[in-house]
Amino acid sequence: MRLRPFLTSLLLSALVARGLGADADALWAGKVRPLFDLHCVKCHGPLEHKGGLELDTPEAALKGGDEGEVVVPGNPEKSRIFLALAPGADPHMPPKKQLTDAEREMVREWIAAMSAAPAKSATRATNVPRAFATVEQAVDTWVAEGWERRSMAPAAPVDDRTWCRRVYLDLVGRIPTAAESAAFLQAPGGADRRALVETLLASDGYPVRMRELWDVFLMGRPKRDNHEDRRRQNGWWTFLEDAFRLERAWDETVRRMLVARPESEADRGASWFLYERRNDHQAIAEAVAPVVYGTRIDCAQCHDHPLAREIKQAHYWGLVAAYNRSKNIDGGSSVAESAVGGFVNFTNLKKESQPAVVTLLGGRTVEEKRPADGEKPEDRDDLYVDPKAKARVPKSSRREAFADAATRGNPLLARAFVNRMWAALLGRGIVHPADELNARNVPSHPELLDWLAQDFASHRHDIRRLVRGIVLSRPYALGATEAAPEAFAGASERPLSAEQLARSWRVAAGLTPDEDALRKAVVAAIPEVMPKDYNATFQQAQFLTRSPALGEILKPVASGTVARLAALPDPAARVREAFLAAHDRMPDADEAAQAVALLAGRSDAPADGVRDLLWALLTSAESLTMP
Amino acid sequence: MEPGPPGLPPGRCRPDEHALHRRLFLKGLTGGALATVSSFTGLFQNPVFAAETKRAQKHCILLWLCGAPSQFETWDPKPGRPSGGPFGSIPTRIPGVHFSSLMPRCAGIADRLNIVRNMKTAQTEHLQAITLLQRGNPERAGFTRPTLGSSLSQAMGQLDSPVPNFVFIDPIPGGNEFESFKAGNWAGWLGAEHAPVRIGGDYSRLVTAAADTIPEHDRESREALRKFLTAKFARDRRSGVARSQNAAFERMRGMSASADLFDVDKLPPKDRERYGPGSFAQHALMARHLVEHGAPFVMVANGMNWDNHVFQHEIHQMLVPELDRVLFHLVNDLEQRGLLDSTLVVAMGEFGRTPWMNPARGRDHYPNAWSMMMTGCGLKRGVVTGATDVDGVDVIGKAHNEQNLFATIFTALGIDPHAEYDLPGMPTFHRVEDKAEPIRDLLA
Amino acid sequence: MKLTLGHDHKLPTGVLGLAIASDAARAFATCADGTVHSVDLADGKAEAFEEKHGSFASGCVLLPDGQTLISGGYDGQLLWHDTATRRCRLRVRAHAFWSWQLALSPDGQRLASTTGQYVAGGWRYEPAAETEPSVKVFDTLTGRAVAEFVHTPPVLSSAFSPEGRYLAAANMLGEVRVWDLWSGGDGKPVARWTSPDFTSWGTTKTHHYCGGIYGLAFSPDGNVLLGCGMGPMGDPMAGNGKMTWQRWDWRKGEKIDQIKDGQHGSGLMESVAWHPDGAHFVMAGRQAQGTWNAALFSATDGALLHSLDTKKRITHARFAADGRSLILAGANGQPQRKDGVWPAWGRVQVYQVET
Repeated sequence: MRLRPFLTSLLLSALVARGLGADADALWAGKVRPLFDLHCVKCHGPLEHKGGLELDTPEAALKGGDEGEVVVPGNPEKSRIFLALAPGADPHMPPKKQLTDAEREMVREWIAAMSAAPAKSATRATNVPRAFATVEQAVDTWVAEGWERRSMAPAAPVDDRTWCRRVYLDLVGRIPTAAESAAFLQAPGGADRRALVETLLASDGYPVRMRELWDVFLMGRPKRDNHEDRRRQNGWWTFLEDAFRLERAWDETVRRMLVARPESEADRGASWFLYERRNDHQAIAEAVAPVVYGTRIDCAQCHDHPLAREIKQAHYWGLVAAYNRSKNIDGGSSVAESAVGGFVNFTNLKKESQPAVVTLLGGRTVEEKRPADGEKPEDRDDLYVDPKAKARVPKSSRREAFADAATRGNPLLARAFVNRMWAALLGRGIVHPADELNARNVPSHPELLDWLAQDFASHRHDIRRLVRGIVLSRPYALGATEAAPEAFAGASERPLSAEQLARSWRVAAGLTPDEDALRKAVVAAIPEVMPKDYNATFQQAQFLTRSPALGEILKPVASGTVARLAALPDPAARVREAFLAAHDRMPDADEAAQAVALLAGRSDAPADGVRDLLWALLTSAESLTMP
Repeated sequence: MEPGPPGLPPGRCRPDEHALHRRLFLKGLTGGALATVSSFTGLFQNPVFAAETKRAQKHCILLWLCGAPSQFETWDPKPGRPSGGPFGSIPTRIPGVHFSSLMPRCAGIADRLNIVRNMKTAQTEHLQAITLLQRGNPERAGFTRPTLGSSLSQAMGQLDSPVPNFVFIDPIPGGNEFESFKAGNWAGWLGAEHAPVRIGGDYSRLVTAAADTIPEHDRESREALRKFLTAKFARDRRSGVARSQNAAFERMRGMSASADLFDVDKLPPKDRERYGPGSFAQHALMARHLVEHGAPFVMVANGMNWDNHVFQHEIHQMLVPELDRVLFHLVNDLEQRGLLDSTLVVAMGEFGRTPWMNPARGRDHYPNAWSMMMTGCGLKRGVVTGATDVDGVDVIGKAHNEQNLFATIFTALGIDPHAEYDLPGMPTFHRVEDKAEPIRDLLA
Repeated sequence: MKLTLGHDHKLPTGVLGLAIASDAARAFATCADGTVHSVDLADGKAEAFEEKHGSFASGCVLLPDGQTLISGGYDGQLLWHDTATRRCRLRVRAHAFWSWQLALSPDGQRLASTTGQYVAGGWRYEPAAETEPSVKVFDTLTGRAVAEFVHTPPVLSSAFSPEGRYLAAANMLGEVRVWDLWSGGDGKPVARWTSPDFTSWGTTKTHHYCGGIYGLAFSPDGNVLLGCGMGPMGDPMAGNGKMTWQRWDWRKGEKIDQIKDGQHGSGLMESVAWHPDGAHFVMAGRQAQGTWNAALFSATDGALLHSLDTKKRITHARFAADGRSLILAGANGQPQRKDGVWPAWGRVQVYQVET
């Protein structure tokens, strides 16, 4: 079908890129691409291709332009692109600038590093699909091959205790209690990771944890105070949780969200994805794109995407058109749709105007008869399934047509989900950033991504299958590393989300994990989920220091842990127990000494001392990150 | 270590004295008269040293006109030309030089300002251009260069200072591209302790005194333990989260000590009236106030309000007079307080605006030829350097880019622009790359 | 009712003001370079008037006898021109700031010019109070100012009622004030209301006001005031507020109706005008997104009857006195300079009106 060649070409281009030689690859990514992006791509790229030459990928550079090749691999002195950079060259590039000697050297180096014949290492033809018994086997195999190719050794795996903590946080959003941890570690026959994963996936905590993650991915953090309440009251949370709890196929969940015509009371949250956006059709388009394509397309509002060449302005406005006949019905969460109207034009920076047609990335369009200029088709009853219904459904519904096209036979849907879930569990997508799955960003493990997406799609878009496979894999279980993160040779640092923190604090304090006041307070202070750059603000420091909600759980009356520890006979014991409660480990000598010194300062009021000790443990970096 | 030679005006100490100051703070080593001081904070208690530090401290105020002001309606008017727009031009105190008629006050003190009219940079989109003009160099994949404020925080800031080394004031939480930039990594390879303390939010004072029931002394001991544990985690695990956390707590401590400096309501009422209504003006006054109290770098922004693709002249008619008034008072006040020679004042956006009007009554982005203003520490006064053609379409002759600009800023502040950052295990990075030259016309 | 393009003429710079001779064979255009032109609407031949404004020439009105054209500009000046000789006979300094727009009373005796600079007046950039009268009325014969009124600047548009008794003026904040010119009283408005649908206060990139009511026109029976502009935008840099007109019962200050949902695109609407038959009105401006930038509406129910996309910005739309043609004046986006030459960007178009 039409979308397959698109995917294959993505794959092929990644292969060819590798075949240019690892050095050339690194030089391209690190030096030459940013240089070309800055000085060349504007005229020789997706938006404009002067002389038929494009320079936004190595393949395009190799292809050359109207006047033939500009790059001779391995031979910069014969490469017209390099010659044109020299001062006084004719033709001279860039036309009105002169690159520095250092910059020209980068280009020379890159061309020199290219091998004449591509695909040395890519001889392992990927046209023969590889078979794996399990998802984790596929992950293990390809990631290990990646280590080999990069000549790096993976970090040592973490122990069972740490792995248990990690998987609890990822699957049910909190650290395990001491009892849960003990049950896992001391099971007769040894720690059974597979069984734990099954138990957690089947538990009540799993759909809640996934909902928390995907609510942020799909809707963002609530902007106004009452947004959380409205999401909950209008069934959005239930709808999302059901997707995970009832093991609904992801494509079906997305379809329900995009069509927004819930067929049962239980499902009424499906329309909230659209409803909350208050008829802001552009905002809807910008929210739908990452879900169905895996990439944001915000840049394509005013012009074709300047760097990701497959994203055109037509796609942006095509998405807007899919939704601009839709309108919220007041008092509820239903979204009506008109059978007429919504024919817009969009203009690019050159003021060229084009009609917006419902268009998907990959080229599919929804055909429609466009009214003639000035003609206004009548909004007749017979255009609707039930003209008397409050939320009228047109017989020919744009958003339904779009939802169908986007969730059936759209391989990007599976890729997008797989990449995002991978990023959530490993700290970084196979394509990075995780919401920029486009031609600009090369997957670190392209065959793995293809395989996972294909596997996901061919197994009913089964989320549990994917999650299970990732958390049981070898890369997931590794310790910290200094190596480049895209190799997955070790665990990347992952800050906990606010919900994970709030629940874990309560568990450490000997309380039940779920409580709204603390959760809301932490969410307000630390709203980011998977931030690209971790930036602790002094306001967050203020929150950790002064939050009444956090102070509450450390009161001896409330906290089981504080009371229990205060009753212990000696400071050393209290310190050990405190570390066990917070980090499930013993303190080392230095830590113990410092902690005992703190308690000594409050020997008059042991509960206060324990409270302060626990506070320091719960707000230290170890409690704020994944183990 | 001796204090600087008597009689030397502030900001005129020799570079090696500055270096000594820094090493002193970093290593806590000292000789001579101050040998008895054993802690960093103790240094500030010593009155001689504290006074000397204050005198030797250099400052920079960056008025960040995000969104990009139109050079036609500010520093490089082209009256009567098709690009000129509806505002005329007025003569300034510099013979032969005109500013937009929207800037009468700056025209009156033009001999104390310097204008660069031949800025020419490569980025036309906001996020990339903001990054370029904030970091002073094109990006290199995989490495985040520190922003100007972070770089100056490291070069000019004091550890343990009661006032943060890098203050960023912007009351607008949103901002699209600017918002993305604000959420990014300001300090880059210099680390979280050189990230800005951000004041602002939704026009509300952020340093609030929270009620709490825990006695101060208890809070200090538990904070000490938290800090110890986090610092250990930072070392043992090379944890970026830990480093960022500890830096945030340090900033909080500093902020609490100087909370009043960040309260607009505590500024002198007469000054507030002079600077005028509007958050930008009040925050510029706050910046002056912070500088008076030793802040090395204060950046004042007001969202991306200059990006007038729509209603260019209808909005610039409000924004430019505000800028005019603010700069006038800021420069005058600093001069009167004897601070202008030790304070660099920079006013700029991330590019300029097009000579031609779009159908939405707006001007679009234009990095090809634009203007900015800088004056104060280390610079001459009253210099207008560079020129554009009769319509402001192209720069005539030599052009300057972000590297030249940053080289000028560093040089003016007595910092070697081509010095390497000390980054073990990383490639070589200089403050300004490619040996780019400062704008010599401006340097004193 | 339908519109078809008859003529399309170019002028060197954007046309910001328009007046039409009663025989609709000639139009007068004031332009962004300050010049005033007489344009033959059949062949497009334009002749410049002798005097020009020192800044954007923002508007012009033609006195009923067709012999005098009064132009106003962003230089704050009003110029009286003789249409036959194209010479200027009188120059009046109306304002310190811009003349945003001119309006002529139907009997041609009174000219209104509105002014006002948007200057920050508060922490949240509320406009500061006026420093000169925002609305001034002049005697068209002598050029003397005969009345001044207070408003909150900037005041962007004004209109006289059909009998010339009332003057309405609207500003950037969407506030409309109406004064009785015959009452000779204290200068207080006889009606005053604000519509929230024409002003944006930024929530995204900027915090300041932006927008306003850019066109006003009384209905032929004088009971209804029609105003146009652009709906609110969360990001005032987007220019994508809803194309909006509203009609008000001005005596009560109440909204009667507005452009219907689904009939509008987004973009700033700068001009409204009534068809002489009193049963239709036109609104025109610039399209940010949508399918039209000029449209005809039914005065009965406000429904859109016919629309056009002229693919440029329209600053003025005026029906000929006989209602058989519609003249649209405006500007393309100003083109870039090419080889030292600035291409023409002003436009005047004539559309035939077919019923």
